[in-house]
Amino acid sequence: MKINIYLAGIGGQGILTAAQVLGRVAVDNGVNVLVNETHGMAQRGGVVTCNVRYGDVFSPLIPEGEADVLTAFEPVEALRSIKIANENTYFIVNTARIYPFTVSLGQEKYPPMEYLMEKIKKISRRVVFLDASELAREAGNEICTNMVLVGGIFALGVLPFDKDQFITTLERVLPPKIFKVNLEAFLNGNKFVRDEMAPKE
Amino acid sequence: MDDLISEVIGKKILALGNEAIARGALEGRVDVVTAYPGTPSTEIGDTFARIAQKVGVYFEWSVNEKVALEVAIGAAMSGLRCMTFMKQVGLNVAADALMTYCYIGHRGAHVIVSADDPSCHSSQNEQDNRLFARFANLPMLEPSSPNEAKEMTRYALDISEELEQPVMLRTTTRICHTRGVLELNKIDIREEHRKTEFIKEKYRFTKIPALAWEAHTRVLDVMDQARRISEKCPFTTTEEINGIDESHTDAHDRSDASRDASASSKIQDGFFTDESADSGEKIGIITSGVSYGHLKEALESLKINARVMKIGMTNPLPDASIANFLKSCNKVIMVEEVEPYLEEQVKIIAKDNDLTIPILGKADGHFPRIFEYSIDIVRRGIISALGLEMETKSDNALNVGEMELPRRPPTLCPGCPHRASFYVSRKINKDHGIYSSDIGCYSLGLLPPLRAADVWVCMGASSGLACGFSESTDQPILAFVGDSTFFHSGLSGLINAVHHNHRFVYVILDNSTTAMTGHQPHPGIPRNSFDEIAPAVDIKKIVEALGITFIEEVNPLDLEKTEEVFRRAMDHQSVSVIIAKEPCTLLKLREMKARGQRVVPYNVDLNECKKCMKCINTLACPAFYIRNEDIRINPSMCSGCGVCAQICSFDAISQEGEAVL
Repeated sequence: MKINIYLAGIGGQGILTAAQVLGRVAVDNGVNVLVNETHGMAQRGGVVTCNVRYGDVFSPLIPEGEADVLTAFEPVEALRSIKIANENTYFIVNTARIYPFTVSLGQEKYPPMEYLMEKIKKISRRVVFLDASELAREAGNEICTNMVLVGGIFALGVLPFDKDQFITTLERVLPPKIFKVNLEAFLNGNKFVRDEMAPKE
Repeated sequence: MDDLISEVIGKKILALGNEAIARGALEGRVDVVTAYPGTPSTEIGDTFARIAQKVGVYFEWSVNEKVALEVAIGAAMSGLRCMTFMKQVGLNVAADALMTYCYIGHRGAHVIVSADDPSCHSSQNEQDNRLFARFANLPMLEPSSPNEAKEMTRYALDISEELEQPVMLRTTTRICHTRGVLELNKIDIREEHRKTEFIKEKYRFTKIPALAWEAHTRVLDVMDQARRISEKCPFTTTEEINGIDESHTDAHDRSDASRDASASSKIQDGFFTDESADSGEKIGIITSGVSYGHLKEALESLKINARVMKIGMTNPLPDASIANFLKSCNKVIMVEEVEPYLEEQVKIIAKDNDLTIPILGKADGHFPRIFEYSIDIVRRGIISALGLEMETKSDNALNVGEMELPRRPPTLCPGCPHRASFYVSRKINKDHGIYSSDIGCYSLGLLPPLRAADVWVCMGASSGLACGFSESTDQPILAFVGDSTFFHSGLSGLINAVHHNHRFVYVILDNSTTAMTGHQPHPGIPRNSFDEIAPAVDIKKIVEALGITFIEEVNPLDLEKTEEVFRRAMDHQSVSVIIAKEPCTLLKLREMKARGQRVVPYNVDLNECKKCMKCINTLACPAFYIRNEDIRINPSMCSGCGVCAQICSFDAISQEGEAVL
């Protein structure tokens, strides 16, 4: 068994925390895991990526085209990481945009959302776009955007653990006073993606 | 309860490679840990800052890597078990101490961690410190996974004790920053850190020139002894990887250091009598470190059978084991990142054993000598080395073509005081000035529109370089240095400037922390590595003591005052020092939050704004954005520094919003 989850976004979006909890749930359930993180320079507003790999894995990095799930915390970052995906990769893409300062300052163009969505849909049909930041706000705090997206991953049925096993780990890892809002965020994301993936009538 | 100091033997925990090294040191009964922060090694120290006092270990963030090494050398000469860690370029700083230390050794145990950074994720070069180990006669281990990093750290301390010689643990970014599953062994939790007595021994640690050759003889003997250890190192493994049929994978993993030596040698014998060795082409692959993981999965995806020798102790190499391995193959591929360190030595071993089999690697261009490796790169290398006719990409990889996406370069945070210092510097000196920069967050001053870094070389170099510019040009010269970097190695260049009457403005960007690596303390801060009160060394008093006649302290966020100070400093006829003092915004915001205070963000009055773009074109603060041609400030990103309001020509920016967290 080999399961590859790729997370891409921007420093400050809670990607490392998401990756850590995804790693911890594996240890709690006796599954081998490697979690590679971006530290240092890139965190100053730069791109942050994490590789979470379960099962018979030895390299900390997912090879090109081998991600089972690509979770983009920001739409442009889904495209920047696209080489990690294949036509069967599940995409979970947060539609809340964060403009690089080069764009805010008018030095570079941010591609239109339609362009981004079309490009991604051309590659895979297993794509869910969601406003994870909004779903996190609904849960109580935008800072929990990361848990919305993790909740989304758990709706895909590709992980060797279920939702309840994750919630047990989450409760173990988080301080009690922030557990509830994170759980809400997780459930919001989980429900949204489950509804999206359900066969349409 | 912190899992890293858990006493439950056999417990499985998830930990970062750097945390694994910290845990390994504890399991190896370490007494003293010293370091200067540097990515990718820093989290080892962040871990010790958190746990050292709870387990009775002495830990310090030293002033630089050389001093860190020397502190631990003193302790190791006293008989204690020590660890010093640093990023790869840190070893250059420590090298003077290191080279002679390796001649004379110690009486305790000492592991020196070199965290190398192939691909330069956070570094100015990708130097391969395995060459340093060889140069210095430093026995060396290379972990291939976080758990192995833990086991090797413990093992390194043990062999260091046996050899009375420091031992290097050479890791790389992808080991340091990967979380993996650790299985915990025993640790001793002590009330306080251990003390001992330094025992005098004539000429043991004082190698006067007449005795230095004896020490050279000693280290050569030590390395002979180390070679014997290397031959039976439990982290050196050989295995058949059967890529065609996974069920036949026959891994002889000897990585459990507790397994006894006789058992592992039997396994080794078993390998060399393996039947598959007698049929068809026998491809051997020699590897070390993180490349081993990439290699295993690359072979799997290529469906190739090969026997793989992973070398755990890579200095000195296990020559005899390697020769045996070579004899069992008729083609050998070398898989290692950066320099052809193993490749060149393996070729010598082959020559010495009259073996003429092809040894394929970097020399003939199959594997790159730059950048870190990945499964894909190792795949391509093997395909090239074996001359296979197949897709170099994995079956699933897509041809997506190139897309034009906006870049996302790292940038100074909103409210960073460095931005204000750079703005003023450029306002006065424009492109005519030479901006000599240094290593830290302020290196980001390189980017437009600030463009306040023309050169940087290494820690502390901005002052020395400025001395050179002052003799080679008549341009205005500004040298920037952070407070931590000033203590690390900026001071000597400044002393040189005073004595030789070099003329430049030395701007000490004092944000009261080591910011880039995650806010570690330094000697200028009244807090030690454990956040306890400690004596602080006053930068201003140091500079005064040098006899510098222009020293001004200014808060860079006050632009008018700062500009006035900078102009006077530029006019000064000898070296001048400006201490631009304002805490790192991230720390300041954290403290405000702790006190329940809120930031009142600035905003742009759209009626007053003439859209001249001055704020955006000169400051490039990431809190600014443009919507429908209007310039706006994101209130959740604004730190309330007010620099933009000071430069606006139309008074269109003011602090009128509601307080936000």
